[in-house]
Amino acid sequence: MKTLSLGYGRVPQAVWLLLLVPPLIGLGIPTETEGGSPWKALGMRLVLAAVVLLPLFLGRSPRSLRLRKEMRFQLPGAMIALLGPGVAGWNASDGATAFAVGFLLLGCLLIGATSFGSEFEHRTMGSLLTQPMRRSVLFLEKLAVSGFLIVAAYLNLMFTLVPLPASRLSLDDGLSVGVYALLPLFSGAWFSLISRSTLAGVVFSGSVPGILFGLAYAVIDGISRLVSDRIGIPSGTKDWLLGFGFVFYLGSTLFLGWRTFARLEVREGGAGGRTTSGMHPLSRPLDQLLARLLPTGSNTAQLLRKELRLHVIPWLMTCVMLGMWLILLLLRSMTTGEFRELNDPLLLMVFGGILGAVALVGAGAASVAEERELGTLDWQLTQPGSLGRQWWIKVTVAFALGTGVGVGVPAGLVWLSFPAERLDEIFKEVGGLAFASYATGLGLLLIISILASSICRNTMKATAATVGIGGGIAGAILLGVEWFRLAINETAVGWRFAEQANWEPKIFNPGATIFVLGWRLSAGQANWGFTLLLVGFALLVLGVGLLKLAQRNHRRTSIPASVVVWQLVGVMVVTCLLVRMVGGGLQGMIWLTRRLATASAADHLPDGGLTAEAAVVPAGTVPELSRRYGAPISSSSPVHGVPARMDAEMALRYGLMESSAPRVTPASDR
Amino acid sequence: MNSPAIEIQGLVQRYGRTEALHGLSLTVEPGQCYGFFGRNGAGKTTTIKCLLNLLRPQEGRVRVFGLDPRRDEAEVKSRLAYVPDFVAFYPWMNVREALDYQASFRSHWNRDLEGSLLSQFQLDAAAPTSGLSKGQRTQLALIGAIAAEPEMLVLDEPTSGLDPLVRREFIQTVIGAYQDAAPGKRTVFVSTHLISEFEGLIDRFTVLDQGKAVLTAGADEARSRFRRLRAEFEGEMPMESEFATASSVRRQGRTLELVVNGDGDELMSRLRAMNPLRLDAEALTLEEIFLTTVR
Repeated sequence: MKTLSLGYGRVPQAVWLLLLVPPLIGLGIPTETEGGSPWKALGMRLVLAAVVLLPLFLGRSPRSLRLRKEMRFQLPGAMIALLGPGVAGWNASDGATAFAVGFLLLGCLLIGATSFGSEFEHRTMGSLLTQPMRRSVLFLEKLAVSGFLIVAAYLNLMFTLVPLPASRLSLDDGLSVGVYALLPLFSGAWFSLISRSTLAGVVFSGSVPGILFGLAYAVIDGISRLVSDRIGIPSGTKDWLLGFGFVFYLGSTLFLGWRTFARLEVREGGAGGRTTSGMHPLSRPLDQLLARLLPTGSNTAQLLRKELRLHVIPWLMTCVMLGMWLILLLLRSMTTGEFRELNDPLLLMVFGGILGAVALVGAGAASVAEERELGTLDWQLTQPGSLGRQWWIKVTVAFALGTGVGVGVPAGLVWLSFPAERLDEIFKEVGGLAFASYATGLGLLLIISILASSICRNTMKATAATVGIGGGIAGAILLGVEWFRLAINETAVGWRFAEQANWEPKIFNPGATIFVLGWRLSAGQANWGFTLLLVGFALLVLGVGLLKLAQRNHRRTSIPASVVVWQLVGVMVVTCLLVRMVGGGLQGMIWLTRRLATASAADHLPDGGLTAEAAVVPAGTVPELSRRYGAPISSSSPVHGVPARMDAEMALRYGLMESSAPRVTPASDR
Repeated sequence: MNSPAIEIQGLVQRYGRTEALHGLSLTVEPGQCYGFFGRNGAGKTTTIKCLLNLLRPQEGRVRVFGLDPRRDEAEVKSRLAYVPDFVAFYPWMNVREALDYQASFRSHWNRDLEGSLLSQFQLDAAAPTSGLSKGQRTQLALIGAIAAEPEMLVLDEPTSGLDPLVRREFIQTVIGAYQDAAPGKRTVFVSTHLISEFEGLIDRFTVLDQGKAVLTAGADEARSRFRRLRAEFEGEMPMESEFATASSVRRQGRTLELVVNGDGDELMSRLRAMNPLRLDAEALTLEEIFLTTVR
C-alpha cells in the first residue's frame, strides 16, 4: 500500500536539500554578535551548511551506502531538530527560543529512538541481522549517524540563536540544552530495542531520566537527613553526586543498548514466535476484562472489543502516568521542603499533559494505521457488516480512549494528589474560555491524528504525520489570520475616512486615531459570544470535514501518494478559507461595534448611539464640513475631497438639512 | 575433510511455555540441496533462525560450516544468504538501491548475474520497492541472495507468492544454475510446503513434525523405501488388518492400495501369494512421502 512518507522515489536524495533550509534561514537573519564579528557568525553558518550537506556528497562505497540509509531513516527527526531552531531565527524572542529548544529536544529524542525502532516498524530488523556484518559495526554505524545529526542540530541551535541577543539564549543555557540533547543518543537505542518501537523509545528516553533524577534527588536528600538533620550534604556534593549519576546513566544505558542489540533475537514468525511486536502491555488482564464485559455473540461488542484491544499507546501511557504518580507520591513523602516543586500541581499537570497528549494522539493514530500494520484492514473491510458502523465504532473508541486517558487520567491524578484549596488557588484564574480552548484544541488534535492514521501504514508514521498535518493546519490558520489582518487594515483606512466624513469633523483627528486597535478591543470586550459562534462553527466544519475525509480513506485499501498530497493541500486551503470567512464575519461585526461605540462616546449624542439602520444624508465634502466647524483640513490630507454623509438625526440637529422631508439613504446602502 | 554445511544436534527452542523444537538433529553436507519439510508451526522457521543467530536456542549445538553462529556470526553470514518467508525492504528505496544496499554488506557481488536475473524476472530497477507485489519482493530478495554467490542459500518458503511460471523458472533455472556453477560446493537449504516443485532438485531431506525430525533420508533412498502397492482382486478381498506393517491401507472397489515404508518386498510377496488379478508397485513422490509421514 502506498502511504504518506517522506520517500523520494524518482528524485533520490533531493529531500536532503530540505536540510539546507535552517542554515539558509540562518544566513538570512541578523548576524551581529555581542561584541563579535558578523563574519564569524556568517562563517560558522556556512560551515554548518556544509556539514549538513555532507550526506549528499557521500560516495558509493559500501559503508557510505549504509550510512546514507541510516541518515535517511533519521530524516524526520533531523528535520524537526534542525527546522525548529532555523525557523525561530526569523523572529528571535523568548517564545521563539522555547519553541526552538523544544523542537530540538523532540527531534533529538526521535533521532535517538529511530535508528533501531524503525527497523522494527519496517520489519527489516531480521534482514539487517542476517547481513554478514558484525553487530558491533552495525551498532556503531547507527550510533555514529545519530550522533552526527544530534551534534549538527545542536550546533545549528547554538549558531542560530546564541548570537542573537533577542533570543535570550545564553551560552550557559545553550550548554545545558546540549546535555539534554545528548541524552537520547545514549539511551534511545536501549529503550527502542527493548520496546521494539520508536514511539515508546521516544517516550521512555524522555521520561525515564526525569523520573530517575527525582529518585536520585530523593535518595540523596534522604541520606542527607540521616547523616545530619541540621547540616545535611553540602549542595556542591549533591551536584557532584547527581553529575556522577548522570554520567553513570549515560554509560549504563549505552552499554545496555549495545548488549540488547548484541543478543537481539527475531521472534516474529515461526512456531510459537510472536507474529507482531505490537503486543499490549496489559494484554491478558484486559482481554479477560473485555471478555466479561462484552458479550461474544454481539457484533457491536466484538467490534468494540477489537478496537479497545487494538490500541497500545493509551494503555502504555496510562501505566507510565500511574507509575509516575506513585513515584511522585513517594518522593513527596521522602523529600524535605527544599524540593518544593513536588508540591506544585503544575509539575504533575505538565507531565500529565504531555503524556496525555501523547496518549490522545496515539489513540487517533492507531485507529486505522494499526490495522494496516497488522494486515487486518483489508480483511476487516471485506466483512459483511456495515462499513459506516465499523467506522463510527472505531472513531468512538478512539475518542473515548483518547479523552479518557489523555485528559481524564491526568486530571484525576492531579485531583487525587493535592488538596482542594491548593487546586482552587491555581484554577481560580483559569477561565471557562481557557478550558474550552484546551478541549477544542485536544479534540482537533485527535481528529487530525485519525486523519493521519487513515493515510499511513503504521502507527508511528501516523503519529509523525499528525505533527506534520497539525503544523500544516496551524500554518494555514496563521496564513488565514494574516490574510484577514491585511484585509482589515486595508478596510480600516476606508472606514476611517468614511467615519471621519460621516461624523462631526471636530471630534476626529485623522493622524491620531488607531482604529484597528480600537476596533479589536471593542470587539474583544463586547462580542465574545458572536466571535465564539463564528470560530466554533468554523472548527465544527473543519472537524467534520477531516473526519469525513478520514472515513473515505478508511474504505480504501490503497491510497496513491498523489491523492494524499491533494487531500492535504485541500485541507490546508479549506482551513485558510474558513479562517478568512470567519475573519469576514468578524469584520462586519467589528464595523457595527465600532459605530455604536463611537456614537455612544460622542458628547453631542448623550442619549445613545446610532444603529446600523440609521439613515444618512449627503453633507458636502469632509473639508467643507471641517471649515464650517473651525477645523480646516490641509489640501494634502488624504480626506481632501472625500464626500461626506451624515446621519439624518445629526444633520437636523446641526442645521445641515431641512427639517421636513429629509432625503435619506439607508445606512446599509453605503 | 570439509565440515558439514550445517550440523545441528539436540536443538531445543522454547517460546515461553511453547516448545517449538524438541531435540532436533540433522546434518547437511556441502553441495547438497537439502529439503526441510513440515506443516505450519512445525518449527522450520525457528530452526533457520537458530542457524542465523536470530534466535538463541536453550539447548543443543548448531554449527554452520563448522562455525558457531553465535560466536562467528559475521563469518557465518558472509558465507550464506538467506531469503525469509516475509520479505521487507526499506520503502523509500527502489530496486536498484535495495540491491546496492545489500551489496554493501558483501565482499563479493556478481553484477552481471544480478542484471541477468533482473531481466529474467522482468523487474524494473527503477521501481520503488514499496510498490512491489509479494511475489516481486520475493524475487528481489532471491536476486539479492544469488548475486552474492554465497556458499549456501538458506530459503524459507521461497516460492510462496510466486506465480507458477516464475516459480518453475526460479526452481529449475536459478537454483539449478546456482548449484551447477560450482558443483559439489554450493549448498541449498530450503524449507517449503511446495515439495513437488523441488522434486528433482532435492538430494536429501528432513520431515519435521511438532518440533521433531520424524524422517531424514536421501531423496532416492526415500523413493526406494516408500512405495505404493496396488493389488486388484477378483474374488474375496483380504482384510486390511492383515497388512498391519504397512504405513497405510486403503480399499478402492476391488483394489487394495498399500503404502509401505521399507518392508515392501515382504508385503509384495504376501500380496502375490493371494493371487491378485493385477499387482503393481510404484515409488512415492517426496510430497506423498511427506504426507504419509506426518499424517
